[in-house]
Amino acid sequence: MDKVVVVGGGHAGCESAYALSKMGIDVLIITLDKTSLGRVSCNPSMGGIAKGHLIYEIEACGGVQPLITDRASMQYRMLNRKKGSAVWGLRAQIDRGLYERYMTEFISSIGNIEIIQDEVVDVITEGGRVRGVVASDEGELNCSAVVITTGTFLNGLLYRGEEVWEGGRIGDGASKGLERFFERVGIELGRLKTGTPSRLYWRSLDLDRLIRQDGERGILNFNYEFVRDEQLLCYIAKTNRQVHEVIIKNLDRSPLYQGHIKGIGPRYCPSIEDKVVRFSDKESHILFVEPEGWENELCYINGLSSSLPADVQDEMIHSIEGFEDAEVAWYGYAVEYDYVNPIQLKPTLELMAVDGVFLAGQINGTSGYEEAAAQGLVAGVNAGNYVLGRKPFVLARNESYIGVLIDDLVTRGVDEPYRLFTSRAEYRLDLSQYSARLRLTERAFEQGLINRNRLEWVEQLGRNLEKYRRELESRRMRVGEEDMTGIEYIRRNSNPYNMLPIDDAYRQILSIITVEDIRYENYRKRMRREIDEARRLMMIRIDDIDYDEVDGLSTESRQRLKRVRPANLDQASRIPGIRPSDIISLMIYRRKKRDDVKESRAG
Amino acid sequence: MSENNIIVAEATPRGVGAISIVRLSGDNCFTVAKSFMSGLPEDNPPESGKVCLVNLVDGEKVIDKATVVFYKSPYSYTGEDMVEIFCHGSPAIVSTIVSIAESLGARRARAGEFTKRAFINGKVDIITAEAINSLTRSMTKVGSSIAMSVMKGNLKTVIGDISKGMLLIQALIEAIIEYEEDIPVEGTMKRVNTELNELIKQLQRIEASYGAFKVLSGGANVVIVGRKNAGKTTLFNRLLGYERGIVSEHPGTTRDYIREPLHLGDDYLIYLTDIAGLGEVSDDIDMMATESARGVISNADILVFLVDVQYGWGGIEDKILGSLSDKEIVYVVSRADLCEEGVVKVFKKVESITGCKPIVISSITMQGIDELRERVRAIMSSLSKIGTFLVSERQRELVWEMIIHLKRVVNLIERGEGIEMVAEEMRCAIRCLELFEGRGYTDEMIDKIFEEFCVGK
Repeated sequence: MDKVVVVGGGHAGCESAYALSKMGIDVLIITLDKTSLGRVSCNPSMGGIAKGHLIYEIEACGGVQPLITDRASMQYRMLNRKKGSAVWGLRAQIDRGLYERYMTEFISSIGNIEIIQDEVVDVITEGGRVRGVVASDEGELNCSAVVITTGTFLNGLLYRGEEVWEGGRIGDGASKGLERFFERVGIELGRLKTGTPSRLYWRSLDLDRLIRQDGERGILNFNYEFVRDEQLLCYIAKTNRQVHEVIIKNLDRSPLYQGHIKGIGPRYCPSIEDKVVRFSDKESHILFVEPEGWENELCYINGLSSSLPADVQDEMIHSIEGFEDAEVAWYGYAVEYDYVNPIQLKPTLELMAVDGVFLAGQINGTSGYEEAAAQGLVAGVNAGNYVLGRKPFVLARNESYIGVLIDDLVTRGVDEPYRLFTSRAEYRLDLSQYSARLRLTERAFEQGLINRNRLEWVEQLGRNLEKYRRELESRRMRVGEEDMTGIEYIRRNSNPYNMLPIDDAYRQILSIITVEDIRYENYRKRMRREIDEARRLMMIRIDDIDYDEVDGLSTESRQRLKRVRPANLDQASRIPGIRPSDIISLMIYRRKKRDDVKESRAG
Repeated sequence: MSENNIIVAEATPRGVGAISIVRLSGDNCFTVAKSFMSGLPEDNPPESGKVCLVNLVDGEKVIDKATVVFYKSPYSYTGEDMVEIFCHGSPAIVSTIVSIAESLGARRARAGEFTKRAFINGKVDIITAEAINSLTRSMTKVGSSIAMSVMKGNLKTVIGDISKGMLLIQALIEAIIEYEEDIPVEGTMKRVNTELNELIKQLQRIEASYGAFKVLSGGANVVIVGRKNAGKTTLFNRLLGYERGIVSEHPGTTRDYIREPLHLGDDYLIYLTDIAGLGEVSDDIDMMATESARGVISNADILVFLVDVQYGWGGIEDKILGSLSDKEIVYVVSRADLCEEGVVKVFKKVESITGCKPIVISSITMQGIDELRERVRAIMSSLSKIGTFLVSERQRELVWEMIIHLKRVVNLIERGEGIEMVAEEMRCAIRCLELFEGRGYTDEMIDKIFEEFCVGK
């Protein structure tokens, strides 16, 4: 039987392995630490705006991340609650220890998944295809496909002030050796940077001087059936002038500002020193104090990521109101690591250079557990399809955030850590959290990721939606002087969500989807037209084109197209630097080719 | 298949002249061209951009002696291999050359096809292509200089600023969606509103510029209106400088409208139109004349409104004024020579009703004729000071759509609708902008744009 090796047991690796196991394929996970699968190495939370959307989509595809998130959750909040439901994003604070324990138990209990603790140092190829891997203890291991999910471990370097040490995250080693494989097959590696803040002891904080942040009550979860009654608190703290002065005074001890760190960091999740330098007129930056677990005595200081030396971080922390007597469990640091620009991947996340090698997660230049899991899912399914000789599994931009994410990666490439935003989706109003199952169940079922029960559940939901809509049409509502149907009420009221049931999960889904259908109707009509247009371009396949034969392309455009190798014109049109005239040239070339074929057939 | 690819057309206007130019473009067009030329230098292919003197031959027969230039791809107007033949300017010679080229496999170019190819081959962008089109069509110096300024990038700069403004608004709105915990919503929305209103105003000015461009480039429709027998046709003839229309003492002499072009100095062109007098309708023909006059008025850019000094401002004038809506009007007190004592009275009356000082004219003594011409010229000249012009209907439509979407954005914000819908409307506006700049496109759109272009270019 064919076996797939998954290198790494983080969020991407676990999702890959789980998907493969459901497709009936034997999986071997090779990880540096088999007791901590799905480790939550940075912020103790899952979801949020766009990221919550991803988790719901992973849920619709039968993934493992939403399952474990709900079980390990400590608090829920629906972000953007005051806006329209298309941009609501559910976020859960999670117990770091429980998450990793539940994930390890869950994955380890699956029959066709084997887990070994070892380090993969090479990939064996033969005739442009993968044949196996080399692990440092076990030696050569045969397999039909590999999913590489090494996160930040590839040549990982950790920085804190003047200190530098090797590793993918604190307490773990770095992984080396794979870069030789990448070099051999002509894959370019780049360097990125990320960071994590200090952890403090709860008992040492003056909570009375912080702003308390409660969780939201009600039916909030990623799995529909799950309800968490008891919730833990978060707190808000703020930096001040004094903190900023400490940072500015010590910039000459920052590895970032001294040029030791070459990798590019995320603009949307900058270190505190970055924030202070770039927004020098801001008097204060907001910090979130988040629990690390139910029984955990530590808290995570979201917003205080730093790679300044420990003594500077100490001074900084103690200048914050409420943190005067804070005891620091460990200090923030920066991680610099190698990544593979995903422009070198196919939309299946397979390397263009080698058949059967798939990459997912942070190694592709993304940040975030959710982005990693989404890629893990797609890479896993495609590795499975590769082994089984089935068609690739590619989700479109108009049906999912997963599709947006992957298309962005392979079409536009990455030069700074990539995170998903709702604004990256052209068809945002079509992609709410609540419609995830409606959008993706059929696709997931085709791939063998979910069972028939779920399919039937969704079909039933479809019928109930129609029924609910009919009900609303016949329901009369009085608003002031006016008499109107439920539909009109929803259309005309700027906040129709306040009439929704809050105590019944199922009716909640039903009514939110209905509200979206009604309120976004006009925009969706326009989107349909755009989608149709995009589809027309999608039909024009150009994956077999010799770009040197196409007239009218500039040298730069030719290079870009050769690099990305877009599957169709729609994808080509999104490559940065590709001009409309290039698309037209390709269109004409395709048409000419087609005419040639016709002519030669006729002749 | 590749023969299909060669297009041929006359690049100069049809008619007799010293020289006409025939242009060929496409793969292998050198071979086609060479096969009806003799006396070309030996080098193969001829040096790009070099002028050669050749005989054009039809079989054995020499049809003309001409200069030709071969342009090697991509160093040509279309970006393809291209040949330009400068033959003697006889329609017969030109059509023979085109026919020979056709018999050798070239196809007659469709309207705008050379520029379309230039666009496809990335030689010009859409805004430049439109500017080239309006340059070739411009009837006036001012029109050409506007088109030139667009070709040089004037419009692109202005649209670039609009684009920056739109992206700023979009960024602010998207930030509110993506960073709900970090962004102060109220202050940000306030800024969005200010920026929006500024942008809408700017776009409205830009949209209005298209009308001005049409007037400046293609000529203004100037229509003389007034009651019957107010002296419209006499004035018409005076302005033209020759007796074009029949003049008589009988009211209602003019029935059909007459239109003639008239240059105002070097810069401006107007189409002066004389129409039937308005007022009481006496018979069927009169009724038809009035109907046609109304049609002409509705298409007018500038109206010269004659008030007969003998009758002064009466009910007829009230009615006429009511039908002119918001057009540019120059008021004239006519036939001043007939009733000198009435002039001041009528002048004051017109001024008090319209708020404008009329010009007092006499087509007999020529009093005020120059002043009237100067006034019309001044109106045209004030239009030309706008600075940035749209030069195609496509551009105007897109700017209009942008305004609609931005106004909807304002409206959605006022009503307190979900910000994700505000963002969607904003995206619509930006999509129009992309289309304007030629960044979004469809097959049909490209065809439609280039259908508007004239042959040859």
